[in-house]
Amino acid sequence: METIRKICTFHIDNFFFGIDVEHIQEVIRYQEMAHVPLANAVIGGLINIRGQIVTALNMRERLGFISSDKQPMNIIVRWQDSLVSLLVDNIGDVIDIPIDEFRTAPENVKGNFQLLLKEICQIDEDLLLILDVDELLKIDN
Amino acid sequence: MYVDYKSILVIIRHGAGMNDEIDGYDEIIKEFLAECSEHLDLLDKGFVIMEQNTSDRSTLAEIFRSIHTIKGGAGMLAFPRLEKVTHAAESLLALLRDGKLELTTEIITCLLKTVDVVREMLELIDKTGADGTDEQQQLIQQLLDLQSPAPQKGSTKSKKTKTKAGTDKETTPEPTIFNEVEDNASEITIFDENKDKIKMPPFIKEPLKEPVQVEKTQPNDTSVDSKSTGSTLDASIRINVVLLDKLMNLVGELVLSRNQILQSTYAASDSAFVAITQRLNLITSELQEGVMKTRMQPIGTVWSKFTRIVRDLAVSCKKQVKLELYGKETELDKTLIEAIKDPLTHIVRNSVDHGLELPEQRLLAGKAAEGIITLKAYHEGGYVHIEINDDGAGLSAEKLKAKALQKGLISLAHAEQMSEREAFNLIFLPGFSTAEQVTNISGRGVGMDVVRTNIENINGTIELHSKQGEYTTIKIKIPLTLAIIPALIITCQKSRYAIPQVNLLELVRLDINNIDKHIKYIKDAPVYKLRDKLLPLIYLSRELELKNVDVTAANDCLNIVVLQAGKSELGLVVDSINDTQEIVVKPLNKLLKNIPTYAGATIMGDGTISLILDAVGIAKKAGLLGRSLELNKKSSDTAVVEELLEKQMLLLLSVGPIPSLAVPLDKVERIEECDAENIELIGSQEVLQYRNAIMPLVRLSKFLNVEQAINTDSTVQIIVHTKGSHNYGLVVDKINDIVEGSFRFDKHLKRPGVMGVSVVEDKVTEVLDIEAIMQEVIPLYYSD
Repeated sequence: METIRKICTFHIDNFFFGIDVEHIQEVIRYQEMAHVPLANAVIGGLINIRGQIVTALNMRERLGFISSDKQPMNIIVRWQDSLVSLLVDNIGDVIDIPIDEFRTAPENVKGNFQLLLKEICQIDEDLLLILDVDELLKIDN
Repeated sequence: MYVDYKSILVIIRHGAGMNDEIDGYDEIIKEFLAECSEHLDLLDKGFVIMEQNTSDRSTLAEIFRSIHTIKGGAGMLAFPRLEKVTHAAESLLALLRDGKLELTTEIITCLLKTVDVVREMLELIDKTGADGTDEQQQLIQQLLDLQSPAPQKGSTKSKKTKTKAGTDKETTPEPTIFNEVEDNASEITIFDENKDKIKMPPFIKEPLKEPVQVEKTQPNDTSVDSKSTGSTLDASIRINVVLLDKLMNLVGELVLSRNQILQSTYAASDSAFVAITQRLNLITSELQEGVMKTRMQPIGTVWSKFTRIVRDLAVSCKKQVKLELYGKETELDKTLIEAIKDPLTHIVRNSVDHGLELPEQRLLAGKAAEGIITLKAYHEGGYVHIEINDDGAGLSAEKLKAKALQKGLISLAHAEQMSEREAFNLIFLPGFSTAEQVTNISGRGVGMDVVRTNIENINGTIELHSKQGEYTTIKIKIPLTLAIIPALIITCQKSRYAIPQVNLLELVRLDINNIDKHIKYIKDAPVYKLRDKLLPLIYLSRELELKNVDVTAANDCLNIVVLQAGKSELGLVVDSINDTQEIVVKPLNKLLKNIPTYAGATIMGDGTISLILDAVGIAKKAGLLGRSLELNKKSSDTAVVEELLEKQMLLLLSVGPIPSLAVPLDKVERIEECDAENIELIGSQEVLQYRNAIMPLVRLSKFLNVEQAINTDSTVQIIVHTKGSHNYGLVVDKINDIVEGSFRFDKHLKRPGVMGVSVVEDKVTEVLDIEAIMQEVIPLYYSD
C-alpha cells in the first residue's frame, strides 16, 4: 500500500498547483509553438519534441486566468496514447506527500473549477491544488 | 545422409522436462504455427475451388502438399493427435489425387471440417504447447469411411497409425534418419551440449514415407507445377510487423533529416557537398518508397477468406451464392487491412444471410436461382474504394423505418420526413436489426454501427445504395494515409501550411491589374473565371479566421491554388506559394482531430511545425459543399407534396419586385454583364452579339409580367443558357448568390416557366425552368 504520492508542482500567478507525477513524462523550458487557427482558445499551439508533434494546452486560459506575455514552461503529460503539454508559468519541485494529507476539495469551489480539482493539501503555508489531468483535457472544439 | 536440424531438436525435446531449456524451441514452434496457418488458408481456398471444379488437378496437388507438410511438421514436433488427423486426411486426398475416388460435396465438407479441427489444435498448441486431449476419433473415422464408397465400419484401418508401408498409397519412401531411428531402437541415448545423457521414451512408431524437408521441397514443388496459384512461400520471408513499423518511423525521420540537410545545402556553396546531399536525397527517396511497399498488402489477403465463409454460409442458409472478386491485387497498408477485415466480413455475411433471397424466392421474382455477390476494390483520387454488391432483395425504406420506430430509435415525425437515403442509414443505428430472426450468423444488431465506427476510425466513409427487390451496394472509401506524401507549401499570414498534392489541380497567379477582369463578385462571393469554369474563391486567411486580414494584399499579385475538394473544384487564395516538398504526415492529437480544416501536421526542415490543410474541410467551412438547409420547420404544410432532390447548385437572382428567384446552375453556361447599348433588335426580338454569333435575349421581367428594375449604370445582367451549339440569354436584374444544398421542390404551386418552389435561406424562392422559358418565348430560335 502506497504511503506517499509524488506530486509535481507548478505555479500560475500566485496559485500553487500539482499533478501526480505518474502522468508526467518530462518538463522542459519554453518551446516555440505553431499556432493552430480555429482551435479552441485553450489550445496554445503545437510544439516539436524530438520529432513528435505535441499539442500544448494553455493552462492560464484553461483555468480561467487572464493571459500573460510571459513565456510559459512545458509540462509534458501522457494522455490516451499521446503527449500533451501543459503550459504553466513556472515549475516547482516534485514533492512527496503522505496519503493521509490529501483532502477533497471544499464544496464552495465554483462549478468548472470543481471538476478540475481532484484534491487539495496543505503544504506549509500554501494550499496545493491537485488537478485532474483527464478533466483538464476534456475540451470541445 | 540427410540430417535435419529440427529433427535433432525434436529428439532432444522428447527428453522429459527439457522443453524450457532448449533455446530456439519456442521459435521453432512459432514458425511451425505460422506456416501451418498459411497452409490452412490455402486449404480453405483450395477446397472451395475444388468444389466448383472437381477436375482441377493442380489445386488438388497443392492441397495434398499442404496437408502433408502440416502432417510432417506435426510428426517432427511430436503432436500425435494433429498428426493422426492430418494423416487420415492425407490418405483420403491421396486417393482423390490418384483418381481412385470421386470428389463429392460430402468429402469436401468433411475435409473442411478437418481444416477447422486442425486450426483448433494449432490454437491449443499455441496456448498450451500440446495438441490437446481430443483424439478426434469421430472425424478420423469419417475420413476413413469416405475413402471407400461402401462404408467399412470397424475396419482395421482405424488403427492406421501402425500400418506398414504397403497399405499407404503414397510415393516411394526414402529412408531418412527417422526410419533408421525408429527401426533400430525403442530407446535412444543422446548427448546434449552439456554432455549429459538424456533418456528417450519410445518414439512414435509412425513411418514417415517422405522426408519432411519443409524448406527444400516447397520451392521445388512450386516450380514443377507451373499452374500453382502463386504460393506465398515463394522467395518470401516472414517479418514481425513491429519491426516494419519501426523501419517506417525511421525512414520518416530520415526523410525529415534529409529535408533539413537539403535546406542548409541551398545556402552552402561547396559543390562537392551539394553533390553528396543530392545522392543522399535520391537514396532516401528510394528507401522510403521501398519501405512503404513492404507494408502494402493486396486486399486479396482479406478476400481469400471470404470464399470459404461465403460457401459455408450459403450451405447453412440453403442459398446458392456466387462470389465475384475484382481488384484483389489492390494494395493497402497492412494496418488498414487489419482494420477493414472484420467490417468487410460482417458485410459479406449480411449479404448472404439477409441480402440474398432463397433460390425459390429468387426464381419467383424472375431472377436466377444463384445469387451473385460482387466485391470490387480500386484506387482512385488518393482513396481505396471498396464496393460490395449483392443482387438480392435490396433494402426497403418502409421496413427500415418501421423497425426503427418500433425500437423507439426515431420519432414518428422524423420517420415521415425521412428520405430514402436517410432511411437506409438507419441500419447504422446501434441496436438496429431488421432480421426477422436474429440468426447466430449475423443480425445481432451489433453489426453495422460497429462497422461504421471501425471504418470512420481509419478516416474512411461508408455509403449504402439499394433498390428494393434488385440490389444492395455498400461503398467504402478509405484514404491511403501513407505517412509520407508530396505536398505544396504555402504561406498565409506568415505561417506555412501544407496542401497534399493529391488535392492539387493547378496554380494560378493573377496580376493585380487583371484582377477585376477575371474575378467576379456574386453578391459577396468572389468567383474566378478559369478558362470556361466558374471557380468559387476562398481566402484562406478568412477561413482560418486570422486577424490582420488584408484581402487586397500589398502583393503585386494574387496567388490562387486550384483544389479538388470531393467532386467540386475551388480556388484557395493564399499569400504566397513556396515549393513542393515531401512531408511526413503526423496525425493531430484527439483534441484537435475534429477541426475539419486540417488533415494533420508535419515538421518542416527547420524544425517548425506546419499544419496540413484538408481541401474538403476547407470547402465545407466556406459553405461550398452540401450546406444542408434546415427546412423552415414553421411552415409544416403537410398538404404540400414534397420531393427530395439530390444536391443541386442554384443561382439566385432577382428581377423586378421579386427578390428571390433561382435557376439550376447546371443550366447556366455563363454569367455576363453587358452595356444596355449593345442590345440590338431584329424585328422585335432583342439580340446581343456574343462570341461571334447572335444571341437572342429573353427578358425575365417581361416573361413574369413584372416591372423591370432600372439599372442606374445601364448595365444588363444576362444568364447565358446553351442548347446544342447555340447560346440564349436570359436578362435579369441582379444576380445574387450561388448556393448548394438539398432542396425540397413543391410541385403544387407551379406556374409556367417555374419548376417548383423551395425555401432558400428562409425565403420562398421560385425555381425557374430556363428551358421552358426559352421554349415559350422564343420557340423559333430555341427548337432547332
